[in-house]
Amino acid sequence: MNALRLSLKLLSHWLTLRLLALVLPILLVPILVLSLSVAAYASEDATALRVVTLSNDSTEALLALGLKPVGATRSLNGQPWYPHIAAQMQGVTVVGLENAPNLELIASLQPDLILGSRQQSARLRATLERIAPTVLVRDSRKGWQQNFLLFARALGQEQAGIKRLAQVQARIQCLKQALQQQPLRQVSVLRFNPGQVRLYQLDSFSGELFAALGLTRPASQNVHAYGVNNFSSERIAELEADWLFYFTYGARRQQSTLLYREAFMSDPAWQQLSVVRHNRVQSLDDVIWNTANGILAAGVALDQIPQLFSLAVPEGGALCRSSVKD
Amino acid sequence: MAQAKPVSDQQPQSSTRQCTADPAAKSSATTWMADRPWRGAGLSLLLPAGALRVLGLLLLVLALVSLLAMALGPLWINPLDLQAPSALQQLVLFELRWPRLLLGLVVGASLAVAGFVLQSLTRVSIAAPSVLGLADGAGLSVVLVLFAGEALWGGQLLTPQGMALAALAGAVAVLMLLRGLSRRDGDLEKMVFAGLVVAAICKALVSLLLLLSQSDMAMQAQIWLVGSLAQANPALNRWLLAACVLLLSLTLFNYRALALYRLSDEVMGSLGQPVGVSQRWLYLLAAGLTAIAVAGAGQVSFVGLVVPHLIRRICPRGVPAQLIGNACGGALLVVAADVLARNLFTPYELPVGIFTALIGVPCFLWLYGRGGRS
Repeated sequence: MNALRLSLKLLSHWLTLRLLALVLPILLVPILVLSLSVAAYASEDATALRVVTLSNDSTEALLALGLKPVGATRSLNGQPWYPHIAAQMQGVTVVGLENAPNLELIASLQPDLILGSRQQSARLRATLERIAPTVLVRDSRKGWQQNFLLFARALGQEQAGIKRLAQVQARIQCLKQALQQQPLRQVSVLRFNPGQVRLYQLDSFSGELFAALGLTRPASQNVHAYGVNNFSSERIAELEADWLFYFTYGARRQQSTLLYREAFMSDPAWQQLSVVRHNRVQSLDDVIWNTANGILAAGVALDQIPQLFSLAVPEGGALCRSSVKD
Repeated sequence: MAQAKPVSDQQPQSSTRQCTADPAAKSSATTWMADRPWRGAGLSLLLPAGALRVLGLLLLVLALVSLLAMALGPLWINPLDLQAPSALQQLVLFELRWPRLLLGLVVGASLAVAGFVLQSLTRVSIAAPSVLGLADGAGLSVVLVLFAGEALWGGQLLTPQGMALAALAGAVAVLMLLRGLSRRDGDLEKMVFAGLVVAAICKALVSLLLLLSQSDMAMQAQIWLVGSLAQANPALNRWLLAACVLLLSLTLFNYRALALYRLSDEVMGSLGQPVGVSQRWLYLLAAGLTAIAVAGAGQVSFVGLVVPHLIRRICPRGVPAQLIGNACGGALLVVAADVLARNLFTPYELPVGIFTALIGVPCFLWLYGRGGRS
């Protein structure tokens, strides 16, 4: 009897052991895998991702998602960064110019990912790919919203990106409604470059912003293209609109460009524009509205809308501020 | 043979010349094109000891500067002391610096030799790929292709190989235009003048296209117009290197003809050289060499103009020595300029063309001022 009980006990012990031996791995393996993958995820977390940005819009995409590049090309006309991102860019290595990035410096930063635009960096793509996976948008100046989402996806932050963009879009909708309540909704946009004037059309950063805000354009600007170079002073009459906005090239405002602007604006045809006579001509920041092309610049541009269009701002508050302040 | 005929007519008058008086020498000279050296006769170069010394020195300096180019950068790497290179060192050395160095060597050698060939053929000392409009033609062709690409295929970029072919087409087209313009009377000075005009037209057309374009092309095209080695990549380098070696050795094989062109058409003719045929060959070689340079690095200024003069000063003897000297000297100038362009204003890189002018022109002026006429 005793022997039987002993053997039974042994058997049960053996069975439990077998069971444990069987169950433990089944239990342990997923736990191990899970914890390992969490650890891996943590170490490959986007915050630890080393990213080099070759264009200002990709730099702004990173900043908007709460990340910081390890290296970035100097902002066009920035010193080295544009004022609206300078505070967040403290300590970021300058890796050359947008159209001449320093490949060696980029390599020595040992990035995990390189972001930029094809319009600037396509010819360097093969070499960039040897340094790190490279994601280039087609053109920084066109489709800033899609470009932002593409950068967010490349960073593994698609959901955060969609959320961040939705905030901006909500502000745009709010401002659009405010703008619809006033009659002056047609805008003209041009830029004074050294020695020439460029007319802006729909497929530009400012064009897309104004279109999203429900504003219309005069016929020659209501075209799906970037713009018209060498806009002749003989065509000044085409600029007639409710509002006329202009950029002036360069951070340091070359004297020659200013003189050219003065000459263009003293043209009799210019003086006869009703938008000029009604004093609705305003200067826009070239960086924010034209060369930055990023989501942060879009935010700053939207901040300026109420003032630009003389919209009524509620007492003690701001019109269409995003509920979540970044 | 049409060109060879007057030679036999003149023979009685020029009977004092030994080589034409000797029937054996004459027949070997008139059949020169038939048994071109690479068809089996082999290549023999006449390199005097003095020239050898200078060439050796040039090669030594070139090797030193190349080592410097591999070592210098944001990351200091001693290429002679690499026991166990890290992944980063390997990347920087073999993926970034080496392709760039190789491209610099190829571009410099091609441009300088093209300049030397053009100066010898035209006997005009300011003839150079950029002066004769070959480089501008190549640049215009590249911009045209970019422009067409933008208009027809929505700005899809061409491969570097496609760009290289476009550059070649442009250089050859300008060359044919110039040859066509000066064929009537064969006036070489007129041809150089026509080249200046064509260069100006090409520049104007490039500006026009850039203004007409949707402006982002200007940025892509700019790199072809200012000259830069930054876009060096191994895939294209292989092609450029092969083409460069081929064309340089063809030029070297043709050095006898080149030596004769440095005299005059009359002397050439009296020596039995079929002027037109070999001239066409040599011009084509110069155009091809220019196209290699433009396809690889865009328009690098001053190399083709300045280096042949510098080499003539340093190493004055014989065409083979000049050719090799030009290849080394051009490569040296471009590589040295690129070392400066990369390292002088870190992190910003400047176009190499700025420094080829900044180094080349003072050297040129100094040497020109020192000696009398060349």
